[in-house]
Amino acid sequence: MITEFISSAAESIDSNISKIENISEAVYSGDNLPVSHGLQFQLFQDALESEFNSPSELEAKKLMSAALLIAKNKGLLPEGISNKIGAEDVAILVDDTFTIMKAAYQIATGKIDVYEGADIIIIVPLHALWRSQI
Amino acid sequence: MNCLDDILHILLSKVESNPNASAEFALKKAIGELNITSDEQNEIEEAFRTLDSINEKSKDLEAAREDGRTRIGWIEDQLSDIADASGDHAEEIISKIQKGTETALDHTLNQEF
Repeated sequence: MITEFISSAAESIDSNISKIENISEAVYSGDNLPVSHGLQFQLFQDALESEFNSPSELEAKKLMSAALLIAKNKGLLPEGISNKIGAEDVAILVDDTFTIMKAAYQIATGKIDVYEGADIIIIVPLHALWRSQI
Repeated sequence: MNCLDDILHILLSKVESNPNASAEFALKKAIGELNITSDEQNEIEEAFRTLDSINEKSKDLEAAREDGRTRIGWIEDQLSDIADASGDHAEEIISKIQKGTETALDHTLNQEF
């Protein structure tokens, strides 16, 4: 069963590589991305351009999580996010989203290739599972 | 303050002038401006702890790779540990992981951009 899962995940990643390339193009050329405003801040720039799991990436994720939780309590969450979302869920949501965004950004800017990006995001679904071990 | 962006900008501005400042520092500096209650602060600190734990796990993976392990091999070990700990529910959990992976990837890659 585990082998089937790994194979399925690998196939899923493989079939989505062209989509990752499309995201990279959007990151490179678009100015409507969720992080576009944040890029004016050095911390966000460092977080996106640094090695994966860098200190600046962790700090950026913490600030995004804090912002989401504050927005939740003030009824200011973006449409589509439940106001019942908890602290762990927010942390995992931010971690997953930022990791995928960072991989796309680094592909777009040529720091990593699309296969390295896919290699990085393949572990994203595990983040939710680790919560039981945290 | 009208939206999530504004809140994020306030928090980021607290660390912008001090490159060594942490998210915890930004949070403390923004408590008054954002009217953050002690309950909200506890909830945020819980999210911080979760992120610290995920970061540690991710570093474990990088260390394993430097030791010559493959990413897939490491993931298999992680899943085995979860399955072992899950007993009778292992098959059900792994099935949900499989479905969740496909759904998450499809949703993220199709709709986020």
